[in-house]
Amino acid sequence: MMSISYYYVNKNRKLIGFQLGMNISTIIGGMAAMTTGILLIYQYPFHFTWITIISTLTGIFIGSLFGGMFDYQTLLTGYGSGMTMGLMAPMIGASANFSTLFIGLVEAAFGISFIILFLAIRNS
Amino acid sequence: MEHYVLGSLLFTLLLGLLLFRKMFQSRKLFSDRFGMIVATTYSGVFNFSIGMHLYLLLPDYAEFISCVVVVIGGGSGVIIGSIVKFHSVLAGFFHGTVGALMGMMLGVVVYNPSLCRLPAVNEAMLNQSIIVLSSFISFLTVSTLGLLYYSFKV
Repeated sequence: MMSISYYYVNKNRKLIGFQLGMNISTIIGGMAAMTTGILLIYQYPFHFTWITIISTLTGIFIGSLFGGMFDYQTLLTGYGSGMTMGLMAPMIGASANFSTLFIGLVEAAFGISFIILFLAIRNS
Repeated sequence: MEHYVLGSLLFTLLLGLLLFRKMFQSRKLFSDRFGMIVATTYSGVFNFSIGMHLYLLLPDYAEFISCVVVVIGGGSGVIIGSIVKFHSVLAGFFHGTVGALMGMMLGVVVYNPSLCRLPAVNEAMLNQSIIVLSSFISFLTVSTLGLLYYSFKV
């Protein structure tokens, strides 16, 4: 899903202004880091420290990958957003008491953000 | 362990002061948007690091430290934002406060994992996780501030 949307954004990147680019890198970096952190803390609840590190690095990588397509400043925005959400995500996942409903909610938010991204690129 | 955390805190403070000085020297070159992004990123990361290290250093005075950390976060965000323009003051203040509170929250959870219904840890594992997390946050601070330093030259 991530690679498909990377390809789609990369194909249309000449049409996207910097305002939309900033928002794209913020949303994608934050949502990817949050989903990674929550799913990993559900899977391995004993390794809190390493899961924090892994989800932060994932958020940084994906945020700067999407932000790096446009500008140096969108790269910085995606980097900051991914890092913040990645540091927070395992705490949210751990304090949500391991419920299945919460996983469904997070996955739905992840999917909806991608749908909104496609719509925004098409209508820009 | 306390010495390690204290050294890491001083290192973060030194890096922040160096970057602030560099930014103050080249303040005439900034555009509006770039100033806002610098204020956001800088105050978020710097205050996150400060909050976490202060809590790990003095875990007995939690209320006092939360007040101090919020004041430090808001103050440094306002200072770094006021170099450029007024709406970067706003962004710096908000992200500084949020970053400081979040760093303190991470410190609390590392110290006492049963707050988040995670399994509790013993003393040796606690020391190990504190050192790993502290060095990771220091690495994050170094890489972010290095990226900002590089972006002043471009």
